[in-house]
Amino acid sequence: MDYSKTSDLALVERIKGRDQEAFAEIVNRYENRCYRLALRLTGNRMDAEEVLQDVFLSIYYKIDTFRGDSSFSSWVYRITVNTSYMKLRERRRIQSHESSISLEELSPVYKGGGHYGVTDWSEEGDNPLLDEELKAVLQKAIAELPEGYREVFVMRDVEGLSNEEVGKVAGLTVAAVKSRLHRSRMFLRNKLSDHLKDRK
Amino acid sequence: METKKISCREMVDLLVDYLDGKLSRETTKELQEHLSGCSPCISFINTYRKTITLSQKLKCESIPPELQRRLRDFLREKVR
Repeated sequence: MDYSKTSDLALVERIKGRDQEAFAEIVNRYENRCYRLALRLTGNRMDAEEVLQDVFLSIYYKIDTFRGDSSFSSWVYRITVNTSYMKLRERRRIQSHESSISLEELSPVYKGGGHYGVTDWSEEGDNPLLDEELKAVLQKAIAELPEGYREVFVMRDVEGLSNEEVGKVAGLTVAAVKSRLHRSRMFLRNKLSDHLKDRK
Repeated sequence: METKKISCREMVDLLVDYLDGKLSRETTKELQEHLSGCSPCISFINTYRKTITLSQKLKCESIPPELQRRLRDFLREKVR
């Protein structure tokens, strides 16, 4: 049966009836998004793979817990975020290693007069090779964002969800989403600036 | 009516709404007036925007085919 044009909600009802093909369609629709989110939150492919397995098992076996008060995609993202952080905490408990930065480091630093002494490196990044280098720096820096900020940034700026959708997934007000997004962007911008400064 | 002068610090704090097009017309005008006379802030906005653009390019990443195959084999086995 071709479910490619079937809505998520209709597929949910079919999965409740244990329709394997409907579930396969959901996996097909969400595996890329869930993979990217899990990868950014856990920081490595092995953990992201395990997260994906757990996420889709949860979707299948806990499908009856989806009540429809949020969109299905919000529900899937929430499961992915929660499962990713559980995996991360499990790994940190084993490694006794804290890799994320403190919240103070996310506070914007204002120099005298409010200027940041900024060099405009935005044009430099139009070189495709440099772009790849900066993306690698960005990926490493995203992994340093603390919980609560990382998923906001990834869902908003990488996955393109709206402030409202991110708020529903993360359990935050729109104002809180915007504040965390802004601080995350500032931190990442500074990391890119530092990298380019060190390069010269 | 004279427009309120926005400081550099206020400009930075307004960036999320400015780039989303969510500021009022009046505040947008105040912000743009500030930018027309502040080259450090123009540089700052450019690099802030560039950070967002680079982040959006991370979305091009797809699940690796090998991982996709393993995931589907795993689910086929576990889900009955």
